[in-house]
Amino acid sequence: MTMELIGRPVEVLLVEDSPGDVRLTREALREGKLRNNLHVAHDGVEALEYLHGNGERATKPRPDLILLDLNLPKKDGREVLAAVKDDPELRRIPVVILTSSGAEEDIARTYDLHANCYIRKPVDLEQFISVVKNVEHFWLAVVTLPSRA
Amino acid sequence: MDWPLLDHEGESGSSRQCRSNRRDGDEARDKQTITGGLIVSVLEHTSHGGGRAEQRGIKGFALSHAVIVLVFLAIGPLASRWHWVGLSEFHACMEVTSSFIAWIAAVACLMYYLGLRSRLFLIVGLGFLVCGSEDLVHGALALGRISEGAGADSARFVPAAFAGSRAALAIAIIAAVLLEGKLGTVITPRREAAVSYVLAVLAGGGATALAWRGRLPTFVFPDELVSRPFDAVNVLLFIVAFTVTVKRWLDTRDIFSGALLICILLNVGGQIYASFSRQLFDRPFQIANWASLLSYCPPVVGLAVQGLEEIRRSNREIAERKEAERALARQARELARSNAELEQFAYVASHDLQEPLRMVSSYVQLLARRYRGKLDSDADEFIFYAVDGAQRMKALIDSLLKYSRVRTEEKPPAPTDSQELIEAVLRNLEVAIKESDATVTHDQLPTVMADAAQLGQVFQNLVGNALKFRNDRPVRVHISAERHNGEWIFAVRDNGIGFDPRYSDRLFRVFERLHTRAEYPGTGIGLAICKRVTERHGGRIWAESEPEKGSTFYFTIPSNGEEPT
Repeated sequence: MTMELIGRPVEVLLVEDSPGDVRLTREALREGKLRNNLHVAHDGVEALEYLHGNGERATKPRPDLILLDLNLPKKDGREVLAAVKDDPELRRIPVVILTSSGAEEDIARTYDLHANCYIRKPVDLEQFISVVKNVEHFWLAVVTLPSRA
Repeated sequence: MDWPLLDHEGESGSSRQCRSNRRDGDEARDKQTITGGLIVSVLEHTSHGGGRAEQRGIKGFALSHAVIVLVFLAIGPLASRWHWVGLSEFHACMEVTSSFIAWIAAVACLMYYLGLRSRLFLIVGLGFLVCGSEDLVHGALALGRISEGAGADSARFVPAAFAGSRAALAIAIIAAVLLEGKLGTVITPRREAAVSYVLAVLAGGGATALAWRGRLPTFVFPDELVSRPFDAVNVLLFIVAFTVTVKRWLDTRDIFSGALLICILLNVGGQIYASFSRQLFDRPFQIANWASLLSYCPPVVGLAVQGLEEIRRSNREIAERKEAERALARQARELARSNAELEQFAYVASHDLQEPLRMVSSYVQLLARRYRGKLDSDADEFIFYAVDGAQRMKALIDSLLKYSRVRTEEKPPAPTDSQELIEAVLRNLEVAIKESDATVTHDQLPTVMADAAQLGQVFQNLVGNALKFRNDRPVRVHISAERHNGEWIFAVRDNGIGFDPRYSDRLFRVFERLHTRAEYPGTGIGLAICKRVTERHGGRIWAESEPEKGSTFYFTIPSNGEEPT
């Protein structure tokens, strides 16, 4: 486990416009083993505002993991992804694409934009919960990430 | 001398009239069939169907023929008023003119024969050829050019040649109509035409020469009531010719038959007059010659008009065919568009339905997870059905997506080794094969032009079904292929539960099932996908079965000359 995470809750930014999915993710994370704080942005603009701070940065913690939906109002997930991976400050944060799209071009494009992984939302609840738990466990407990700048 | 011509003109005018009535009827019928099916109307048009009799046409026809007969009755008294009618020079002029018209008729008939390859025209043409040639000999003789010094008995020869050539024409018409379509297909029209024309000339010439050299029987009996009985026999021959030709005309209503009828009628009249000719160049004799001259005109005019009609009709047919082609192309475009839209619709609908469905199914599952056993038993039951329904809907939407992907994710056919394919499929199904304790065998299978992923899906669905719909017996599945009529027929045979052959078509419909989900799980999309895939490959799929004995599913893939491996 990454040393920094010991003793503090993990910060997860969920970029998702559907309240149903937000709640489901929250429920799934609640069943996870790690203590976590879930922050939610409902569209791409909100997500980038959160990440760039815009004055509030001081009050909001830098996320340890971003769960990003692709089809979002205003700025869509691809633009958010491009902006994050283009920003030297943010690009080391693992971005997990969590979407219902299975289109080849979406998969290829997001990996081209350096998404860390691409996951299709499972329809089945059990699977969804296990996927979210696995993502959290893998990226925040298994993987060794660079220490924070 | 111009009244009979006028009359003739009037006659053919009225016959054109009645034909134009008929054409109106045709057009009305064409319009009807255009709405039904353009192709059908084009096909119908090219064949003169029988039974097209129309009362209007018959009325005009009868009227025009009555006019001809009446005019003939009037010619006799009229002709006696002009002195030149009795001159042999007048006779010679008529004969030369009529020989040319008859030859023109013969040539026109020949052209029609070569063009339409119908022996009707060939044989009638031969009749005109013989008549025209005889008329020339006849006319020359009348001028005295041949008779001088030849010592021939021209008083016998002239009526003999006249009666002979009329008989030849009548017999040619009868033979042509009766033999039409009965002598087989015309394969070498030019050779046939050349041979028959040469033979006719030789026969006519030979007969003339023989008649010239030999002794002829008496042809004219001036003291009898019917002074020329051979011409009276010809009247009967022409009446027979009229009868058979009328039958043809009633069937086809074609212009040439109508023209032939007028020709025959003129000859009937002419021969009646000839029967009463007591000596050369008397008035009945001249009127008979005049009638025979006139009788060659209707076929010439008729063939010309018919040619015009043929051109018009073929122009119209070309226009109609082009219109039909355009309509077909339009239809094909429409169909392709609506098909594409439908594909798109099925894909989008099933794809977009997944989102709300995911919500429903996730939350009822969450409900079940958190609250099962914590509410009352009713609540548990309700939740169970909600979860079950959501799961079924998910299965259906997944199936629809799979089904629409047959089109949206299709790849162009490439050489595919179905042997390798089936082995891969059997590896995929390894668990199911073990579970059902099945023995799956296959023959040597060919390489075919196919979308490998889709063909693999077909094999997998069919073998999967064979494993699924099993009874107590150990499962045996056999896959074979044989080549037949340019396609590979694949067969997947099992010894499972089979099905009632009554349902063999329903099997392949989307979401069609013959069993409850409790008996055998599944959404009923597998065979629909198989059907779609085989049809996309230009093949067919069908099944044969006997309940409890097992079933065999067949599908075909065009072999495109691919060699079997």
